[in-house]
Amino acid sequence: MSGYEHLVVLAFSAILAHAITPRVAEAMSALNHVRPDVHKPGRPLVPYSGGIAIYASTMLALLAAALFDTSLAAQICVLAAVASIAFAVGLVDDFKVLGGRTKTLLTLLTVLPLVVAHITLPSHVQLGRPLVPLLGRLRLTIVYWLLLPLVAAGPANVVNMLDVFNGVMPATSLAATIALVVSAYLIEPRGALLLLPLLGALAGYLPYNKWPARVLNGDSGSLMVGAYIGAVAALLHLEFIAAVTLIPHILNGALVIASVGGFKEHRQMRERPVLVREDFKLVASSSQTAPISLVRLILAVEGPLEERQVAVRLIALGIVSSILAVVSALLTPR
Amino acid sequence: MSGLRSLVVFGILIVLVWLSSVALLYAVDTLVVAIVRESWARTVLGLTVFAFWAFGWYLAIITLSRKLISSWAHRANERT
Repeated sequence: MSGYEHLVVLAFSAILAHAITPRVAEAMSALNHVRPDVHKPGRPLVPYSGGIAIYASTMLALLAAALFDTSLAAQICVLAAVASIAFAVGLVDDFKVLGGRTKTLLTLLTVLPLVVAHITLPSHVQLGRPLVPLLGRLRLTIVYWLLLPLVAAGPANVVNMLDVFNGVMPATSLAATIALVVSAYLIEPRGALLLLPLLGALAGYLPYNKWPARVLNGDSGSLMVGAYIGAVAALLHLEFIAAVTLIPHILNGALVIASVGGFKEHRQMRERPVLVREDFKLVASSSQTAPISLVRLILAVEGPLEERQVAVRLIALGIVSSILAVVSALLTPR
Repeated sequence: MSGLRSLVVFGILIVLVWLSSVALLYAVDTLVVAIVRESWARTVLGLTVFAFWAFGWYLAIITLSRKLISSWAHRANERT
């Protein structure tokens, strides 16, 4: 497997996503599957479930990767299965709203392909003993298996919870995926191929979702992307590095869950953490009982901001944590 | 510079979380895993240390959040 073939998979995925996304947007508009973009004047209706384009291009690029390197076929099948489960849960939620708890519980199913493959194909799919800085392979023997159900469901849900403004989900996930690709090249170069389909798909999709978005991701996009990142991290033993890339997402998820007392859909929340002013600037709620989120805290520190300005700050925080993830990989003994 | 205020505040927070997580793993590996034999007792001990770390961060972040929000509410009230 040469670098040339890695480039082919990456380019194939990016071109595919860039070509498919406008078609998906047209199809969603034709189905009247649209949502108001609430942070813009006039609340324009924007096609929803753009995650279909990310999923389709990632899966086709994964197929190409399997043809280039058949020794990774088992891991590629596991990734495809994990991503498909998360995508299906998200797509159902996009069309027929699921409750926050139901959706979270359903995403736990993403652990099944990993466990089945680990049991049936132990020579191809080995889980456990994550790589960490300074120590190398961590001696986690029991705890790892207790926490395993969260390995894909956790990232899926925290990525979903930070999918709040145009461009934030694909851009922060792109930064996280780039950090994971660099880490994989430093630690396990063959495994980097598993990340390139997602990297290309996000790069090809981002221009359509960046401000002002021409398509919205939907949970089908955010749940699938998060689950993919978690699953590939487990397959390559990069769980710690993936967690570092997602620190802003984890921080936001923990704040929201702690302040609302559990898993609740934003539609179920009585108060909004962030308010939209008449000039369409966002402002932090000053209510003591409103949910706490990372965006609310950013606005509390800086005062009213436009949607695009908040998105830039969230993406910058994603880049900071991705840099730390690469530093973690550099500090990890081979 | 004011545009970078939140980036500085939360960037520093992210770096501190990262540093403390590396320190936690190192401490657990050298003080618990290397000394206590593999058993459920070691699992419980390791998880307890992790729980203390997580709870400490939870308290710190919730306290910081409440301070930031009450400071913002105070500023917003002054303006109106």
